[in-house]
Amino acid sequence: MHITHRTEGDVQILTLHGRFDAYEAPQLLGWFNRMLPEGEPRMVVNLGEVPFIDTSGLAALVSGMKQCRQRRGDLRLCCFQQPVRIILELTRMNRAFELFEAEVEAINTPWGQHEHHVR
Amino acid sequence: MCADLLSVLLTSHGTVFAALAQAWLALGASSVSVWNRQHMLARWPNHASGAGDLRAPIRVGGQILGELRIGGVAERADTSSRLAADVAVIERLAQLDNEMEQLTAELVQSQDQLLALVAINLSTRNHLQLDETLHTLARETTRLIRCEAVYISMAGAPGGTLHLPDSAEGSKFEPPAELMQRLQGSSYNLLLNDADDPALLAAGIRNLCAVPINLGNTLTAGGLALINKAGAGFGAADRKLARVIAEQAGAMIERSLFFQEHVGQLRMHTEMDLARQVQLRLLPRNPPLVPGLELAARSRPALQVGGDFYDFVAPPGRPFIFTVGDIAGKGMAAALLMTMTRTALRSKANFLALPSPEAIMSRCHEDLYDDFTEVNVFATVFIGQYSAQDGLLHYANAAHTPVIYRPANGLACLLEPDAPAMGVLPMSLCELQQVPLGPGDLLIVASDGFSEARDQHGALFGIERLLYLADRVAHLSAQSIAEAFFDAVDSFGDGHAQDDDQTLVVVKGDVRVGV
Repeated sequence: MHITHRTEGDVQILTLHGRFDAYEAPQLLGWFNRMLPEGEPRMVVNLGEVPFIDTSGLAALVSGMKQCRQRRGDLRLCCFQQPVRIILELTRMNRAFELFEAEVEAINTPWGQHEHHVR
Repeated sequence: MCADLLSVLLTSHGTVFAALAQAWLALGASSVSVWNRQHMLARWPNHASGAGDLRAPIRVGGQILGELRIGGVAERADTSSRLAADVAVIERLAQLDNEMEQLTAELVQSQDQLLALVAINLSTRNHLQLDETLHTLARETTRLIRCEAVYISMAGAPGGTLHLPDSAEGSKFEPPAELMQRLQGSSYNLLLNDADDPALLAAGIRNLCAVPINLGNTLTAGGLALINKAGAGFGAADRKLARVIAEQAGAMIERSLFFQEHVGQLRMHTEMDLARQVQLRLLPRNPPLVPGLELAARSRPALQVGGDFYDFVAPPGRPFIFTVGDIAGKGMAAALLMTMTRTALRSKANFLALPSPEAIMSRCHEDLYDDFTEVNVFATVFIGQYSAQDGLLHYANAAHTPVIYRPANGLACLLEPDAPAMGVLPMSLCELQQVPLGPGDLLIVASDGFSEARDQHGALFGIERLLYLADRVAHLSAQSIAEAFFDAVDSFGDGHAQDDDQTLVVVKGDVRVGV
């Protein structure tokens, strides 16, 4: 897997390419630890190029989401291949993350504070 | 070359000198004598007198050792050339002796080096820890090179080791920054016989000889510095010996590092094994007897320790509760959080005034959320509670899958969770749910190690196979159903290593109750 990063306004967009499993999760965790912007981070993670995700991958996304919300920002997910959509629904991550079909929608939907405050 | 080499030659090759002298005497010479400056060293015949009429200097290596003098012979072309030939013979002898002496010295030195290496080898053989090896090496080197101190710097042994002859075990030594700079700058190839640096002199270093210590012949892992040799300082021989010791040291250090790695792995395996035993003991060996239910459970970790767990809580006078969970991740971290989660659930199930599944879930979630966040994990958890009065199973499910329900007269289906895993959000979103659990009704709470078991080609066992299997074995006892599930994934995998923990709790309405 590799990660590409770009910025649109104050929104950081990460696109993940390839399988997202226990071997790849540390790469994303490392990105969050080093690169998470100051202030209230607004992140969109595009999973359109990810054919498979496992619990370690989910744990990395959850970690990023928590870090963003701790700083009053958020992390949104968008663009899902069928196996990834099934995993997200089966594990009810759709109740934890804001999910969007299209990246443009994930970027442009107004960013309020998420209903689930994070300690 | 020493000035009395002629005396030595006269002793060792007396017969050669005597033969030369006798030849001259036979030709009519009155005396033959050998002189070292003004002193006569030998004369033939003994009683002869006179200083000699013919004289020729004896030279070796450009230096005049003395003279050969012949008395009673006039200087002519033939006597002069004969004298020159005799002197040439003597000079050749002196040269050979000289070479012999050098070879002997080198031989003695080589023997010393061999003995030194044997001594170092013997004295370090019993030490396998790196620190001990370095101390012994430093001590022996100090003794063999006859210097005041030896400093060994090694990557992985911070601070280096200094051995001083009066300290038995060596000591940690932080060399002056100037010395470190010079040692590192020269890659530990340094010979200082007149230390010119005030910082070195202030540290008491008068002279120094450093050589690199290599691992695997190429990688410079550190260096050996010999400090303060008495007299003229370090010579070529010391440096050569130091190099040989450093080579030997490299091999010993490699061995010691290898040993440490091996011990470390062994220790880790032992600890993992202990952790596994603790984990297995924490899981109930036999399910409790609960009127109206048949129970079976088993957990099989993929690694030595696992992140899956199950538990039964059946205190007298309180409702029967069981829990099944899976910590995201594997290995020691998952194992530690698994025991923590199991204990938190158990304590809530035992002591909450109204221990409903969603209340237990919610309270545990609050307790564990911060810890889960700290270490970036979450746990899927299923909590079931059976009420014999109404024959219902109440449950709360935080992302745990697959959970299979099969009514006695129906087909198996999946009970999907309604909330994300424990630790994902700050509060639990689980709501209380229920299914009937009358005679013959079946609930199988498995971990994803079943649905995600793979065959040789990487294909998943999948949910559909699990549902089909549940329908096929539903008539069996809870214990036989559990065994059938493990057998099914094993034969599907057909030798493919188990990727994830596999845990199963089977709860079946007791058919005998309905009879």
